[in-house]
Amino acid sequence: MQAIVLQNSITDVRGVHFGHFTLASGDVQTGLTVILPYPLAQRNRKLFLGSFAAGNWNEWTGLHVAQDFGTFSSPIVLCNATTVGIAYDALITFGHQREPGLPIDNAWPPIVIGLDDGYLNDLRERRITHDDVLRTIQEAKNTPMLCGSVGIGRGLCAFGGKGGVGEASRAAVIGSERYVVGAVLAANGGLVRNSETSAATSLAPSFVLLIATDAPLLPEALRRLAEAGMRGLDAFGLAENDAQQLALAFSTTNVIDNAFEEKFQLFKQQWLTHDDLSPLFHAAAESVCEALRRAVENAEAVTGRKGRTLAPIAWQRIVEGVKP
Amino acid sequence: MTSLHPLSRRRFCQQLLVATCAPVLLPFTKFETATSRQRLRALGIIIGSLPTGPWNAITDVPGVKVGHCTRIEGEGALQVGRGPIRTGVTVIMPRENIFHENVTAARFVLNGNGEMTGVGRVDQTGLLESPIFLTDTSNLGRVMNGGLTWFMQTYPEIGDTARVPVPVVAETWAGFLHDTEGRHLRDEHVLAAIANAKTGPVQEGVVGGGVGMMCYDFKGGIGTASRVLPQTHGGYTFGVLVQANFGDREQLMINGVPVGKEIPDLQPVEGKKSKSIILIGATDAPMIPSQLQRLCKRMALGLARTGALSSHGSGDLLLFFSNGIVLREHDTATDIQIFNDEWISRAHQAAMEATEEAILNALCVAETMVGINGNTAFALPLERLPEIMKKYGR
Repeated sequence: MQAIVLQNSITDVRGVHFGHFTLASGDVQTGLTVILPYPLAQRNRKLFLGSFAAGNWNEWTGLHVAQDFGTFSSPIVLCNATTVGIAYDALITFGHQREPGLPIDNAWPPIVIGLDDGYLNDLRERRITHDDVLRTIQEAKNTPMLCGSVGIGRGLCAFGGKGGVGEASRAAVIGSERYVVGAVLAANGGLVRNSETSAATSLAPSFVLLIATDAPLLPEALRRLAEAGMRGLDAFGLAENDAQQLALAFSTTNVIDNAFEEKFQLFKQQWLTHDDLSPLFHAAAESVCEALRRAVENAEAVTGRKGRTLAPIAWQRIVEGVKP
Repeated sequence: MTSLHPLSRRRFCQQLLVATCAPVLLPFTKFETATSRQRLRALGIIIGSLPTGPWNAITDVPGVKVGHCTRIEGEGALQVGRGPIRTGVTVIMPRENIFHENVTAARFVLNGNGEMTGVGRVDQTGLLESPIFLTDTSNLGRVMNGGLTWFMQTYPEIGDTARVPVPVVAETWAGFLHDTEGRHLRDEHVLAAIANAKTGPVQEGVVGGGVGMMCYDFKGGIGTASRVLPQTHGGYTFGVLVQANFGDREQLMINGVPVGKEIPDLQPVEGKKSKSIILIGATDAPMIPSQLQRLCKRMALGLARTGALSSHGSGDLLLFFSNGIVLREHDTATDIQIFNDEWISRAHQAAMEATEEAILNALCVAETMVGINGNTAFALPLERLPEIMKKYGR
């Protein structure tokens, strides 16, 4: 068994990189968070992906390939709801730079997920540019990320207080192997009962979670991992009418490299056939809870659109406030 | 135009673009005159047995409008960012005020190697709140952003008191003819397509999102057709519009005749290119999403009857909507009437026949086009069809 020192980060899953871009200027309080599933230098690689969505609609681009083939090769961009087209266009540029024909193993189709940060951010100002998105991808790092009011977390609103972005990781032992599960969560919804906090809420509240693992999972198991991660949020009573919950889970271990080579080939993969994958599912749920805590605890007060200010909300108040 | 108010200036520019986006006025390299192309039915080839609507187009469905903006500029060697340009955008408007008065919809993936944005809401609620835009792959983000610009201009409450919609945008790959990396579409082209949207006959072939497309290794593009149910079945209309960019030559079937095998010449220089088709269906029959998803699958059967196998590289994405059911925002409950499943087989037939004919209309109307690096997509030679059909007893 390999000894892995975890830093409580999605980047504990080897190869995964992240990038934040924050734009804080008057009524514009927004940003981007980018997750790269493998380093930029890696070309022509597909990874497996599973998704799970709940609540109201969950928009993400690139879902046709992801759902029909169970694969993806794009950076995953979390951005505000009016930047989706711009971020998509930047990923098209990124794809063309890698290979003019935009094959599905070299960054196409783009995966972009939009969040409504309009409580604090003026969404009608589309100030994040194509170049901001590209630069954030190109400068992505594999060190632990900042949590709270940074990147996509800048304008988010959760539990009536300041929302944010968080991350965490956990180890899971299956048989004789030790795997890592890492999660990033964008927290942009939730209600605290009997609370004195404001009724601040997004028009389209959402929780978006991205789960990475080095366990060799195929799409079916990854869908279960995504669901397990989302179930980690169940303790926070998120069954709001408009709440969107979307989880994507991917594995960095079962890779398909150079699928477009002009020769017939089979790809060696491992199928984790152990009867009990619970340690992975628990690791995902725990990572997501921890990512939520870190998103909220690290959030700092932000003043934005219409002079609104959202202050951080104590974690304990959320834990108490969501009890039935 | 006396005012220098920025809005009126923008509107002025928009109108200019509307004028310049009329595809028939644009000069481009072609081997035939437009009049030599005809729709399938005008050639005496009749698909199926149901009658068509007055225009044999998706616009026969009352309330549905279609608009195009076409960019065909330059010729010669590819210079990334400069051209040659062979692209555009096509928009289908399901009804007026679509953002606040949603229609029912469902989608189906026959082969996932493509993109259609904005379907999360369709999946989760069975409702469509956006126009449907068709363009080339690399322009998808641009058209999403342009669609959003239209939304925000039309509905000032978006991003303030109303949540932000995700425009429905679908794509196929134009890399054989177009400077894809240069993209060449901006907000104004999307707005021009919307401003051009109208009922009545629909331009087909080398127009809008279909400009750069190939079909069965001939020139492809936009095609449309419709069918009308008998009055005994409510007299409803079913229309289909396709952006056809798929298929290998030897697969092409026209009304059951292996036409592709009979025309081995007129081949494009083969490059690595994807093959996809976007199929959009519309009806005024009041149908709920589960019924519309079944119609999507019958569009897939219509596609199959033209010979398609839905290859791995093909993004074969289908969406069907009904503006026979309209749900207004903020209504607590809406009384609706729905179509009887026991009578739906005629609707299946309508969807299948209209799809087969829409694809063949795209092939019949599209003209030969020369694109980047002199790449040539030849038009289906209509003059050879009578003899081929005759050979197979048609």
